[in-house]
Amino acid sequence: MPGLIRNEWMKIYRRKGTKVMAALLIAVVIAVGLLSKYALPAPDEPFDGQTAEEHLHLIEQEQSVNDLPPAVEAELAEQQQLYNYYLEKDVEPIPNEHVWSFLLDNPQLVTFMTMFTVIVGAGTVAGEHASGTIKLLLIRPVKRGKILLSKWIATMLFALMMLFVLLLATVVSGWVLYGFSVESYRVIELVNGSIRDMPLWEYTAAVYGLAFTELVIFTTFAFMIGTVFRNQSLAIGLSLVLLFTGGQIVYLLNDYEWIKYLLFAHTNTLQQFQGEPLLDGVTPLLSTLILLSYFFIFAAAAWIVFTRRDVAD
Amino acid sequence: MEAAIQLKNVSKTINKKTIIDSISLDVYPGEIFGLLGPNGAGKTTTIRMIVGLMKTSAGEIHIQGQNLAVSFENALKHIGAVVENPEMYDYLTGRENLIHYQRMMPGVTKERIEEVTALVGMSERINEPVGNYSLGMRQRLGLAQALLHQPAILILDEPTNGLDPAGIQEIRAYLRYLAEEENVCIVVSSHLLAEMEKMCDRIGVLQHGKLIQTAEIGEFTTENNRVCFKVSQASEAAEQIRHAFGYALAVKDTYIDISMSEKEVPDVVQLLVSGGFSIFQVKPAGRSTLEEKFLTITGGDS
Repeated sequence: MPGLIRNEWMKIYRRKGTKVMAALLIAVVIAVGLLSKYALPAPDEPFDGQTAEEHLHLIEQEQSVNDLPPAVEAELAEQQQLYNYYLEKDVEPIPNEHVWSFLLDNPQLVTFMTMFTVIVGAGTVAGEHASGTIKLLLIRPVKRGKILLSKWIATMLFALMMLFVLLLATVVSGWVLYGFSVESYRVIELVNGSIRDMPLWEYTAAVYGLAFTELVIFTTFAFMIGTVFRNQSLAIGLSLVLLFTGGQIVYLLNDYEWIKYLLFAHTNTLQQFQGEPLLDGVTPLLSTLILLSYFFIFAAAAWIVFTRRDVAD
Repeated sequence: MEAAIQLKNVSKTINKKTIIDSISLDVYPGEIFGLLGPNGAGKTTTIRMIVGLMKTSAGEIHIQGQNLAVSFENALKHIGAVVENPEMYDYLTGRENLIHYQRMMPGVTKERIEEVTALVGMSERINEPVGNYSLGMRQRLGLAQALLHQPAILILDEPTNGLDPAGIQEIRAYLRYLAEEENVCIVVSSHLLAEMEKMCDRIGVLQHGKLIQTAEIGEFTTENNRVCFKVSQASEAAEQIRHAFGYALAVKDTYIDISMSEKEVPDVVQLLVSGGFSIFQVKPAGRSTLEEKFLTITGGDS
């Protein structure tokens, strides 16, 4: 098995496309960093403070204005609660222009990364059929199931490598743009009306980990389509269309009860973590169960077709 | 002697169409067996079933006594093969391709890679990407990957395709060596009949998914010899020969053209002499080649 995985890794790594993808990812991280530092205006104008006291002071100024709409008033009250917590615990919020805020903004880029892993996952079996190499691959004394598994594992290793590249590129470019810092912070957020206080590293692991589950499920989907239909373009196209429109589909059809059993109602786990689930009444447990079910359906479909197929091309 | 490859009533049906119809065949260690047949006769399908790329619809395939459908890994470890064109990873070097296959087969050392590389004469180019190789070089690399684990059975689909005459000569000699010295069982398929005639010990003819004949290469080329007799009273003599031996023959003037094997010539001569016919000439009227034989058997619709 380790030999098989090394083989698949070699086939992914030695392709020209792989290095281009890694380079593109680094370029995008740098571009996002430059844009957010120089091109975009600083967000959250009313709360433009740096320390918790400054924030609270600004909030009080806002509140002193008469006839505020109720929504704004509620928002201000929440912010007040949050910054009072900072004061109480004697911790500082992470400054806006800081390597760590850059790091915490970038899980969105995992979606960008997903495009690359979808391409790799879609091609790992379909590509062998297209080039005809599948024949010399499958006449070895190795059960087909093991070959399929090693291909999936190698694809996931590629995804992990890309994640590592993303994190490294983010941190290094963050240091260059916002100054070097290894100071530890805590991430304090209001989620569904209550305070959540997490150490920075734990929070980072959580957001990137959750963004990664979306990647795993879409890459496995592409892997399955590529295996079943032996067509890389179809697998890439279908996966990417669903990746980018899945959320809209759920949004458009959210009146229907069955929509909560649709995969895309659960792929954006990051939104759920930030307290803004796509659908009401979706719990993390339900999401986990549904994601796992889809994962096993994809894996089973790929497995059944691949291990039984007559190779005739 | 136990057969290295054994097909027992193997059939293959695809979309209700019978591609292979109940083939039974034993191939033994130390022989080169040729699969011959027009396009679409089922050569490739038969080979694909033997190497495990396709499953049989009915019947069993045994490799070195192991049932392929039951113990896939134990059966396939005895086989080295090239199926159709030797398609390998273009973006990897020749050596990386061999390393790739080496990792998939137990007990193959790095030294063995050097050994087979030298064997197929690829040592100088082995570190180049396969994308740069000519068809002949790919063919050699294909042979190298098939030989990597020193298999007891070698299956080659059109092994000389794309090779120059010297390369063909070389491969033929090497296959002969493997069969005779290493006792390897070799199955080749080819549409080049002349090539098969030079390479194989035994030939099986496939047509419409059926194995319609298997025979030693010698039988193919001698059994259908034609001998021409020039005798007095030809038509009367022909009648007697037909009556006594049942040969197919043709009479033209004083010549009788008989399809028969050479070793039966004395019997015919004896019959003619004792029958009082005068024999003026006995001469070979042409040896039917494998190609003619093949066309006769398959009805020429190749």
